[in-house]
Amino acid sequence: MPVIAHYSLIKDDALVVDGRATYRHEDKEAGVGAFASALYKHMELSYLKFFKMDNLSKLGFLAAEALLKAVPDFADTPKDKTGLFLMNAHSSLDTDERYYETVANDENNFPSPALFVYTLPNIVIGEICIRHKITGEHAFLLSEQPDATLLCNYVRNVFDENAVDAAIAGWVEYYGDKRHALLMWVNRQPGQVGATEFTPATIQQLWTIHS
Amino acid sequence: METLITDLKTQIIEHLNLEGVSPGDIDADEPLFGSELGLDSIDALEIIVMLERIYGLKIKSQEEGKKVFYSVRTLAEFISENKGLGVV
Repeated sequence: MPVIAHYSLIKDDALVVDGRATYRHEDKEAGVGAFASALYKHMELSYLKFFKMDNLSKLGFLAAEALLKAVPDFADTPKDKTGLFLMNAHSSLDTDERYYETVANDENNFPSPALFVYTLPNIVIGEICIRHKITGEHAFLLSEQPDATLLCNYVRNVFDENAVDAAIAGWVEYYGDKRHALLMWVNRQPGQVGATEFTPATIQQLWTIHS
Repeated sequence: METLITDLKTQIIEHLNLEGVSPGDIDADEPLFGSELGLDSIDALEIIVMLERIYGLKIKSQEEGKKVFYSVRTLAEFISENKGLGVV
């Protein structure tokens, strides 16, 4: 059975990694742009493309950075056997609406290419894959609420088929300036310190304790 | 011309979200693409939209685009020539 070896969580103004709060933004009311830029600087990242990403991608990107920093054997994990399975409720609606604003007015109709390329939720998967050279199975699932059973069954099925040796799985949601990302590093190595079985109950527990 | 070049640098930084880049960091004569700015094809499209929205100018062909987008100065010259501004 796969296990959750590590996890990262971004909610409102905080970043939590494996249960420890590692960053808290000074302004609780800050918009996602200011929060993401501050966290990027705090993590001492250097990746110019970050600033071109939409809010959903920035959120997933930062959560993945924090997560993979906590995974000591990530460098040794075959990237073609590393999967990426994400879920949310609002898809890319935040960017869809922003893009719509650029085409809604007949007299000022200038569709933005930079916004258009982010009008799909799975672009966040692409950004993480490009950054970390991950080439394994991936999927983006939509669900009105975090659906631990759906996510768990999907990911376990991929493990059962030996399509992946490890995976990033979780929830990345951004809409109406509400941000919530929970990414888990899932692998097949029982006995790791702090690891818990990858089950709907343990996923739900992580979602619940940080809600 | 120098004022237009400075304006263009500012607009490019703003439209392409070039965080941490100031107008002084962009050499007007250096190639825009394939440089340290890290611009890609989506950025090229954004500049096309920017030219149309702000200056009302369209690039007519790929060949023209290659010449116009070479540097900030070639962009400024294109705008200047096609808007009838002359040398500012």
